[in-house]
Amino acid sequence: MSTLALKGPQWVTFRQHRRALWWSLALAVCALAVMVASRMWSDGAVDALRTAGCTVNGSDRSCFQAQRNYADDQWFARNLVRYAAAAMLVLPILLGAFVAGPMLAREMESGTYKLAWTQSVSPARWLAAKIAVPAALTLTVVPVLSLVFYWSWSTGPADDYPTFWYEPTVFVSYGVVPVAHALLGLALGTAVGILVRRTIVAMGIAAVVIGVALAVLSRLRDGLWPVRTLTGAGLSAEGRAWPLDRGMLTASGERILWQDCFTAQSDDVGRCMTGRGGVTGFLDIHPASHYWPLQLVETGICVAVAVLATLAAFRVLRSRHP
Amino acid sequence: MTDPVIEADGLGMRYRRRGGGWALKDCTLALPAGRVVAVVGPNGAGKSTLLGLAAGLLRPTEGRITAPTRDRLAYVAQDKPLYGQLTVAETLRLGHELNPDRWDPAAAERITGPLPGNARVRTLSGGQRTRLALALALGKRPELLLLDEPMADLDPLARRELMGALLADAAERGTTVAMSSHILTELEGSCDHLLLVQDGRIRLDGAIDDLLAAHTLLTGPIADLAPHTVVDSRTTGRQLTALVRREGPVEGPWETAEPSLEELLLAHLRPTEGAPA
Repeated sequence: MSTLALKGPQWVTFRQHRRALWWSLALAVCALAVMVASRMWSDGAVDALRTAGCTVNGSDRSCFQAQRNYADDQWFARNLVRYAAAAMLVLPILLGAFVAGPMLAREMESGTYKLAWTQSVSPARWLAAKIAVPAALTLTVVPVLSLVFYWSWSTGPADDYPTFWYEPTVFVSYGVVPVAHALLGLALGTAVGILVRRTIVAMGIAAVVIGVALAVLSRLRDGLWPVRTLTGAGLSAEGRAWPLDRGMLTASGERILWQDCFTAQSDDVGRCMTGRGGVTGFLDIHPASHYWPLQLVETGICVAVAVLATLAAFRVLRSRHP
Repeated sequence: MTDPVIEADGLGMRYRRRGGGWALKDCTLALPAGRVVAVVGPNGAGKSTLLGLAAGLLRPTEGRITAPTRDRLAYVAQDKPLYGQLTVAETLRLGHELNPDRWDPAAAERITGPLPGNARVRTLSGGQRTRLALALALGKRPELLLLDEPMADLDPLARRELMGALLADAAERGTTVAMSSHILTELEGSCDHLLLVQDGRIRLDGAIDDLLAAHTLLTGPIADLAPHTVVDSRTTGRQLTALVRREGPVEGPWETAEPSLEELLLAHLRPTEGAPA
């Protein structure tokens, strides 16, 4: 890696945080290993069941143990997917906290900025390098994680215990959103690191800010693309659609939600709904085809916020430094 | 006379975080190129603030200061900031990477000489850090070298050696050097220009020889010293010792002598007897 053709402030940033960069690569490899293991564990379970000559739903008593092993293995594989997805969810927080604290605030806290900012390279280029190095790492590693997660998740633990694309952790684990979230974390961490001049405080604030941003995105996600409303009786979200609000429509088209009646009159919900004027049922869904529009809109929002945060960081730097 | 290297006009600096007092106020100065300037004054006088402003690290609250751009100056802060996780050799590489057009490895290695290249900076002693920080500053071939309390961590031997190397290099290249210290003797003999800072104001500014020649140390009977400006005076019995800035020749019953640099500085820093401190 010493032959890496890095120059100027990028070289300095890389050298300073070499250890952290290696650690982050090691963590990425661990995450990939978990994803691959999940897939292999799941395949192994399928093979074992087939070798035993059994099926999942068969009622042959001799298959009881094989079915049980299969269920245990699939459950284990599914948990690995869940762990990997949880790691993908917190990745932007870890990244942002590292950039805010050890990369930026520590330069202020320890006074090394006085060294860095009196060289020929301008403070703006110094900050640009501080962003470029982790951004380059993010843009190479996170797409790999995203692709391997998709491969592991979509073909791995069979449909007996499915996890769905719209679950908060799964949605942020593949596609382009993981990259967008990582860049958002990086940019928010940069802004916090420039504003807060204490390493630990900056890490804490960055973690909270990014955590809140991710929570808000998760909360707003179902509204990022127009929902499709199904009407009729006995509706269910088929074809891996994301079910949202559910209720009944009145004759005038007004919506009544089931959840209101569950609290108001839990002993006879149906009567409560019709009593309020419900004529026919409705269900809001995002069909599976909304996956990419939702991903792209969320990516756009993240990139826009990231750009604003980065510009703000450069502005603050310029206002503090002649 | 050559163009000044640092020019300040009505320069003032107030830190918001430190209670709002002026760290520096009404500073107007013009430092000629090629001088070795001693920035002297008690602790908290504003020396570091002045150097930080000249280095472009601080934004003046009022007035203005012009100094060479950051690629043409080098600044060694008081705490000798360096990256602890880098090695000595990597720190020198940093100097090259961040100053690609100016870096002179030979100039830097002349100063780092005895330091092991593969030692991590965090394992270095205070004196070794100073050496490395100075090497980084000199390797850049600056036109202006700003040193804040550069020699504080060095033993007398290393101090003499490093100061010698520094001044030889500066003389060879015509570098202007401004270094601060609150230890007066540290700078005597190595500097030719004096900037005395006290309570955020410039008290004295000039070539040391000129300043010394303009002052006279008087001993003799108590009498009115007019028209000379009394800088400091004390009486012992009927004997008067005074340091004055001369206005014309000294005529009277006094023994006169040219003061030493230390006497001159102390006289200016000491509150005059009888005057409110």
